[in-house]
Amino acid sequence: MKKSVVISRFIIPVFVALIVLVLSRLIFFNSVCIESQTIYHLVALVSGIIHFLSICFVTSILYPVTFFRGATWAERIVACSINPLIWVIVEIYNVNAAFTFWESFYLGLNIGTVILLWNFTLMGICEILCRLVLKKRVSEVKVFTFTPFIPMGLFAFMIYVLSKENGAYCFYLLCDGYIALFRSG
Amino acid sequence: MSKKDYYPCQVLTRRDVLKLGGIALGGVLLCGAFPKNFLTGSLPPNIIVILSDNQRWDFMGCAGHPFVRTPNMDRLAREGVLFSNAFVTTSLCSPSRASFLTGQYAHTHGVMDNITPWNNENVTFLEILKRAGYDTAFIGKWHMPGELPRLRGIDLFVTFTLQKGQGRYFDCPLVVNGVDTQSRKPYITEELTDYALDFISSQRENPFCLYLSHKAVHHRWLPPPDLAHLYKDETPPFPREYNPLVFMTRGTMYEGLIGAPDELYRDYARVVTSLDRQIGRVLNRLDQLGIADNTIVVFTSDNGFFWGEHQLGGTGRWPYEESIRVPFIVRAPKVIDASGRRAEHMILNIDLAPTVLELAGLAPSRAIEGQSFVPILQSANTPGRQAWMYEYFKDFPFRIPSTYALRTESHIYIEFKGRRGQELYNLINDPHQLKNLINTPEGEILVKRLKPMLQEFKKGSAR
Repeated sequence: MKKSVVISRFIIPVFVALIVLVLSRLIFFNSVCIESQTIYHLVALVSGIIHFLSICFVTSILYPVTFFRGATWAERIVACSINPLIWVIVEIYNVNAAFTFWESFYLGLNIGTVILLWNFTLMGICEILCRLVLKKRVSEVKVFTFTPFIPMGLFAFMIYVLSKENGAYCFYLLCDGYIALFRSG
Repeated sequence: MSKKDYYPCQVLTRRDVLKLGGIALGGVLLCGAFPKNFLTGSLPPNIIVILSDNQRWDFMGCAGHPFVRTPNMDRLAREGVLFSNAFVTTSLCSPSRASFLTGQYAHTHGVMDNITPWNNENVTFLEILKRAGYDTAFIGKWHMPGELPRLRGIDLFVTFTLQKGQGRYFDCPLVVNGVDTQSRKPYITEELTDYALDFISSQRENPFCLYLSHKAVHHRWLPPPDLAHLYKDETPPFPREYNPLVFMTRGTMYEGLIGAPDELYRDYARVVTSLDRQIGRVLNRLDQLGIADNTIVVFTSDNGFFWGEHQLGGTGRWPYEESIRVPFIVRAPKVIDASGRRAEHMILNIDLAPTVLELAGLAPSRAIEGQSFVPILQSANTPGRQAWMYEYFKDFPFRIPSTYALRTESHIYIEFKGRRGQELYNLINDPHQLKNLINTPEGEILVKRLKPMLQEFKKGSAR
């Protein structure tokens, strides 16, 4: 597999993903200014979905692109983690309007864990799919290794916990942690 | 001729004095137990307070909702007084519930959010009524942080502790006077109403006060099976700023508003109707027992709800009208001047306790911060309050800053803690609160007047 230069294999894909993230957010939160209700709903829906995809599913595009452009595994992980991390930081900033930095950080840590675990799961799936494609080109590629399955297993467990009592169990777990950390005094 | 024969009215013998004194003392003691009601001229009235959960002020037929059917709430409004400017001083379940019971602001009773526990030193109006000879029952959602309270003066305490006191709509285990008890009926609103009907129908010599606090209409809205398809052809009247993804942003995901917004809205409406049906059972039982004329019924809710307004979804918290305004109906047959009246006066959740006490012929304690609105019930011409204070204390994990606000009849001035700063709205010209007047010439003039008023409320020197 030919290794592209760093601009091509890392910077440009990351930059494009970032632009999509920022633009979709700006459009979504400002779409309410559109006079026509129909167009407003359409623009909000499309930009909102793109924004969601640019956070939660950016890996499904970035990972194969960086993989086949010869990015190292570290570059691939960083490239796929930037958008979700930015979203988590923005969330912490927003929460910080009402809570202290550490309270906000606690919430950010929790939602960050969920989103990053999902992201690593997606990376694991993409890694296997990319290897499958590569195997067709280069026969000596080992497709299934243990590492990509670790986040998948953890994510499956997390989904089980999250879905308990329709999410209420996790919500109260989050609140109990908050009370223990910030209200026990 | 004795002195008595000569001055039959004026002259009392020593024996007469003792006899009259005995009668008077007996009368006083008896009145202490069952004070004759100075409002109705009869024995103290029975009192029923029905509390809904998260029900917006406009989710009733009588409040003008385009499709929700609430014939029994409408009946209450027809036979009583509908307050179209009723508010909660903190738009959040636990603080608001504590305010209803104590007549105090959240900063006074101490339940400042959904985390700080109830203080067992707090005095509820039920406790005061019990001391005056009432039979009392608290049935339903307690939902205040901490262990179940050690409530004084409650004869029957039926509640639930599942999911931190939120309970669930179907097969919710109950705690009856401290004993874990299985649900007898599958649907919680019906089950709680059954307990209420049993209490109302009990043989008794005393007047009673029933506080019936429903889980409905709290998320996650599950209507009873026969109402599951009600309103299926109705289109929710979402506001202009709503969009289909609005419930997935601004942290509202913690409200659990996941799914198709139209169907969520219809489910909410269905649960309102299911609640209304149970209110109907209570009203019918009062009719059957022939005690409706001497029973005061209050219906209200702990806070409002956003259905897309301000691009928000979920439980109140924010100091906007959809959040702070609640339904409030009082049916008090021997008290109100004209049934079916709509009162525009501003009344508050903290006014419930002093009002109930006055209706029972009792004086409110000095600790109560609300004002009785009995005079408003008696006469539409009674002047109402000019302003009141809203307060909200941050409640994890919801990203709403701690807030103080001053609500007058025409404006609301809001001070958010932190970088959100201040907001000011003219509620006459801008009822949906879309144009913040802060930093406008009009706003600067108003803030000079409203800010000191808010300070007075914060200090406790204004009520």
